[in-house]
Amino acid sequence: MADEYPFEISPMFEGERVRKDDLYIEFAGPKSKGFELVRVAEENEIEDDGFTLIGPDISEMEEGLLYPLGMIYRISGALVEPDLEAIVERRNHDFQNYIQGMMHLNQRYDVWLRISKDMIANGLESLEHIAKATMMLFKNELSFIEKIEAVYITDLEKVEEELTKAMEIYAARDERTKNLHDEDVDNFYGCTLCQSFAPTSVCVITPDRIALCGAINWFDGRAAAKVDPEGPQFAIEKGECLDVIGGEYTGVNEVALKMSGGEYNKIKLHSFFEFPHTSCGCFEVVGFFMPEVDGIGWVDRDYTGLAPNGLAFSTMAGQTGGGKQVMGFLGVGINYFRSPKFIQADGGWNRTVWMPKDLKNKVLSDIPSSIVDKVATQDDVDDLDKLKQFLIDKEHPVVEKWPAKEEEKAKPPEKKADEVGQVAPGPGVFAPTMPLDIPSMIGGGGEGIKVTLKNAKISIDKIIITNKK
Amino acid sequence: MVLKKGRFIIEDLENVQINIGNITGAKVEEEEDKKEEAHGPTIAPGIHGLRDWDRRLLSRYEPVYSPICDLCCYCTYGKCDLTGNKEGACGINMEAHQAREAMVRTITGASAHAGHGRHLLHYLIERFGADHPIDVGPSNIKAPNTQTVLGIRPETIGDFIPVLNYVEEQITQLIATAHAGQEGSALDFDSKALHAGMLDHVGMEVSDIIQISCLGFPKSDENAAFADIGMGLIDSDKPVLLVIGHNVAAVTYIIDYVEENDLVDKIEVVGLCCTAIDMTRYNISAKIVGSMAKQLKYIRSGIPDVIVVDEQCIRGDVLKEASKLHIPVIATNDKIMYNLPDRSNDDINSIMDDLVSGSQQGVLLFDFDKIGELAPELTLKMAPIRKEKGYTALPDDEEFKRLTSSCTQCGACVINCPQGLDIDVAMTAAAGGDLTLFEILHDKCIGCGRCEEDCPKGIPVLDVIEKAAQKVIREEKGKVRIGRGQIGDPEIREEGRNLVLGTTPGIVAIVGCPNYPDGSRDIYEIAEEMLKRSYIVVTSGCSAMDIGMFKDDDGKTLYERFGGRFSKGNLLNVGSCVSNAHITATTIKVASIFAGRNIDGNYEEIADYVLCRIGAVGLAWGAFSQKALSIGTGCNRMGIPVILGPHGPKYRRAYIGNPYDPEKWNILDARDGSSHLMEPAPEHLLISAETKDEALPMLAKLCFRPGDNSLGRMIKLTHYIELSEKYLGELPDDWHVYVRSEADLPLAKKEMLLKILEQEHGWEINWKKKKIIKGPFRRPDVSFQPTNVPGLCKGVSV
Amino acid sequence: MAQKTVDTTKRAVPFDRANVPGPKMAKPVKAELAGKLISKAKRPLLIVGTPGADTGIPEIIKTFNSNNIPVAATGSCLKALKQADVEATYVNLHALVSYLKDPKWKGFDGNGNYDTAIFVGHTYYYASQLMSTLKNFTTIKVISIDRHYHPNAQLSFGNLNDDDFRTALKIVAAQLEQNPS
Repeated sequence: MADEYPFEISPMFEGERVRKDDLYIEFAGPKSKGFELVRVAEENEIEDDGFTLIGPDISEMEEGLLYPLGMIYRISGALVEPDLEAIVERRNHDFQNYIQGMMHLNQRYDVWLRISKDMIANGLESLEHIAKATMMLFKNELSFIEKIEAVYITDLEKVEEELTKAMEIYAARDERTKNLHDEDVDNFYGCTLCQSFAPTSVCVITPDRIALCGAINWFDGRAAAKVDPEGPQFAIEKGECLDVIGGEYTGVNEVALKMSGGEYNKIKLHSFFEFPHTSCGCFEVVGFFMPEVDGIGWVDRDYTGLAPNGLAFSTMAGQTGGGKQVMGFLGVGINYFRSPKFIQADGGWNRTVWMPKDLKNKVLSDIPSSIVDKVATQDDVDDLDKLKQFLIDKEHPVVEKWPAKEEEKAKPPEKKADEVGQVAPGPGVFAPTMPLDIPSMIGGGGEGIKVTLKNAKISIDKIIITNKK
Repeated sequence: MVLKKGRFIIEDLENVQINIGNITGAKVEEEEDKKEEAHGPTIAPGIHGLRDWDRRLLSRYEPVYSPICDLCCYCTYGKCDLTGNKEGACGINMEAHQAREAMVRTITGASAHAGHGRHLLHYLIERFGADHPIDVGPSNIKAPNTQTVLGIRPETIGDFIPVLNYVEEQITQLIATAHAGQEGSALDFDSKALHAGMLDHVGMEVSDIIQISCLGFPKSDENAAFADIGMGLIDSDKPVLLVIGHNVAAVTYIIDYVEENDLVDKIEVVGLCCTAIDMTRYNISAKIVGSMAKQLKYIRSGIPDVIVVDEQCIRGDVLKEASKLHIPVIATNDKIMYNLPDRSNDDINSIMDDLVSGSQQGVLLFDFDKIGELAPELTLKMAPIRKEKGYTALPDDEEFKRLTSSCTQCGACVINCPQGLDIDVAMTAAAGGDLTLFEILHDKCIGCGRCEEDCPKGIPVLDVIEKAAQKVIREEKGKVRIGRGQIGDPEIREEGRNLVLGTTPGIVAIVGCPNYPDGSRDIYEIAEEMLKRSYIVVTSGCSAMDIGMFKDDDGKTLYERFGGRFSKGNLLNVGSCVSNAHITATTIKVASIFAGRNIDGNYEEIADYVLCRIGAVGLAWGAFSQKALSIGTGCNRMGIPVILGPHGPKYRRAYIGNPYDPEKWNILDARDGSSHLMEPAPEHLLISAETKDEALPMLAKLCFRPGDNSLGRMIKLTHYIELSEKYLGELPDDWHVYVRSEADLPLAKKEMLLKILEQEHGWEINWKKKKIIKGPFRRPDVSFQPTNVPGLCKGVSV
Repeated sequence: MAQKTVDTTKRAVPFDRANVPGPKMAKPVKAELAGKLISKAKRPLLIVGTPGADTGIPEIIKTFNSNNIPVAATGSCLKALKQADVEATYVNLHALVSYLKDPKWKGFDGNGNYDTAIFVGHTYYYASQLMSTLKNFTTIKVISIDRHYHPNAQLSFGNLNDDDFRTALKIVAAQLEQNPS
């Protein structure tokens, strides 16, 4: 293989680093300018597999130097549309890393590339080889691309000119993504990739709910469904909206029934308690309900401590996942915190009472200012009683729901300690010692039993000897 | 006031806790309030409890027997010649006898670990109390093998008592079937062997969990520290205390004594074998000499001043060899007593005197406190004496010349060598002053000493090899991450994404003994190749050590180049031999975490899940022992295939799939119980390979699973094809069998492969859309739920 | 035409001292006879292992191929065989003995299983152990023309030095040429 190219192409080169000593040419990066951009064009505007270079080629470049680089790809096809541009563009990074001897970092206007000396030794003379290899991979993976051509720019002035235009395009895309919501589209996308490990797991990907693994957003789903409508990512026609706040649609329910093999038949996309969206097992965060405060806590995978309910991430995570709908626990990706519809069926952020400090800092900008100080972390509280007090002190919205149930809730903290023993104790929680009823220890007598201790090893911390008076 | 002997009455006991082990006589109330009864389809299965599952495995992966001996010598009717599958006097035929032999080896391996575990459990309960909690790191399922087999969820180390009771009962029942006139069916012997393998993983798990929990070992620590390893790293000018074996209990006392008495810089405490690995998990100041292959070589070097042995994989001639060089031996475990006097009740000083003077060559000592003090103190005493005399078995330059010149090239050493190394050729070269051949041979030499047994000239061949390789040996310096224990839940959860998206092509477990066919570099190169391809590489025991002995051009070992997390392109050392249980444990956790399977007493369903979905394969490249066989067999029952090195067929039995036979490759769809023809994935359950070059593409191939989605299949196929091209020189003949749709095709070669499918296999291709219209015998269906168990299918009554 | 001769029946003792399987062990065979028997076989299969890739050996094997004896390239010898223009199919040796003992296997050409297995160029203990499968569980005639004595074959050379081994192979090749199948 790779007869046409002077380099090997394989996913095994993905993590390859090109170090300063091995560097032949460096492109873009923080000390220069560069970008990558994919644009949709008309079929007749594109010369399939065409390559245009504006500026010097590799053979004209000096070893060890830094050059600017703009990469523009134009694509056309019956199924191609502007919403897919970003999806195709993101693959440039992956594919160029498949090329042996080449390193591609970051995306968009942050791109940074290096070509190694080995590539030159193996016969690389022109950027055209790289462009053509990349285009070949684009077409092989994304079959909706019928025609593709590349324009690479290494002339600084031209790079800057095109970069300015590109920045506007990126900004427009971001706007569109930000402003696109569930109600604006006709289709959601289902993803069943995880079913190879979690047979009943189906993710429903909407503009307001990205896949919980974080790898696939609505646009990705759309692109994949175009490539292979019968494949693991497929379009879900919304159908009728049965519950706006909860996010329930007839189309989604049908798919849920089918793809979960009958495990469940309803999904409320933005609900915690009712028919929640399922997870496979790779969720970054698990949400858990604390009935004592009628609030929801969140714990992330990297947090090694205990939540106020005395349980650790792994223990609670073990209660959910596996493609099953479980009430009281919910696995989500960190990105779901950013959704404007974040568990809106159950109060969204107003129902959130606790999260680890590091997690809170990660999503700080997404927490409404009205609630941000009212969400406790492990620095504020470490058990339910303290949490209750904290919420009262901060006047957290959940407190308003308490009064009617205040008396019933008074007992739970003690009960919780026993329950901990049954669910799964966290580290450091000892099982209670067996209660023993031995009336007298030494010398026998008393209630007619004699106790003999055989081979007993008794180690005593302290013996206090006092004069008997 | 002075307290003398007498009696007094204790008036008051304040906050005294007395832990009672056993109460006889009075009726004891069941303490059921803490734990519910374990529920599950096969709680604590007996010998035939999982027979159905075994039969499913064995019907697809046929046992292939390769007898190492055509005779049976079990009873006094014999010996019997069974050549050609004849029957012996008792009516057993060759097939059944081979299966029986393999079963006995598997039981032996399982017993070694279970015995080790029981010994540790006794000791740790005595020292820490049965209530000592278990701590393995972040995990919801703390003891996956235990839970899957017994439905027990241990929380304290005392909870493991019934677990080992079960293992021991099963082992007794199993070994009973090796008696003359028991089982007559090869298949059922193999089922029993699989049972023993499963028990082994339970025994190992108990052993490692309790030592991790009590002795401060790393708990699922991806950033486990680096330990130094290699003969070249030991400061032989200092007193050297060498420990060999697998059971770290006694050794912790030695290490503690050395620390507490400020001897850390004054004495080198070094280890061979798994004890070394576990020593460093206890205290990083200890050093690892290397694997068990280094035993005889290291003793002969004369460097150790005292040797402490415990159990497993230790040479039978340690006492003899050590005595020749005035190295006292302290045996600490009743598995190995060497006919030494038991002086556990004697005064340390009197023991020391006898050993220093040489009036006794060694002692048997069961008192850990005494061992802790005696061993280092004895080392300090012996060192100056021995160093002054310069005791070593290695010849000096003059003697070396004489020895090499006296060789008559008879070839007896070559015939005796397990690897058939060209010792005679190297000997001639050395006699002529050229040491290079011996330098190369030294790494391939596994240090068994057989070469000396039949030399007509009495040349101590091993000593010659070691003397010749001195320069190379001085450079033997490596690094290995200390054993991290289990894989934690959060790591598995995070990695789920990579496994699903195919970013991680699979998991390769390079484990086992150092009986390598061509030196230890092979597994280093295999590990490096797979790590570069983003496989997760897990390792343990001797293999973990040898992988750390090689460096790249920048002087870095693989452990330093790659992280230690359970994630793509990372290298993990789970620990010693007993840590191998964590490998099966991880697959069990995946079934629980991702598929929400109930694991309690649910072995068949979990193993079926693993076999259908988890692309993991073991590589026991230098497997030599019975333990290696039982570990591999335990993996097999859990649905994990294993590749052995070329000494592997000596285990007498393999489990091989025949890909051309469609009857073997039926799989059910759990959604409706319908039967489908599937590709051979994995093709084999237990097989051997001849060379590293052959093993590499095979590792990739054995990672295919029927449950692969297209991303996963594509990446696995990419590596299978690339490894075959790189190491065997061409495309594999059967790559097309693993293609279910164009989405499975490696991206960079899509066009070329489509052409081959059309031209060589007659498939129908839509070239415009680059889609496969006809050809694969299985249509891709991502929601297909593969299973081998009819009872797990909906709509099928069992 | 090979001028040299060698007596391949000498030193017919296992090359591993303890590799004594039982009462039935291979008869030492002369190279000429081995060649004749191979040429008479109805369904022969030549099985080559990794040492079969040693310099010069593939070229000798190439001369066997002119008799249309199918070649199974086990281990990692395929590349070298192909370079010497030998038509060969890769297969794992352990898997191969499993296929050889399966009546359902139709061979590499689909025309049926094999009746004669000829071993050359193998890692000694590996091949010896797997020949034991064929010896005990099949009726396939196993002929070893490898460098060392294989007790589990039916017929085998004794232990030879490298020169004698190559000479012996050339004698076998000459026989095959004289008696084309």
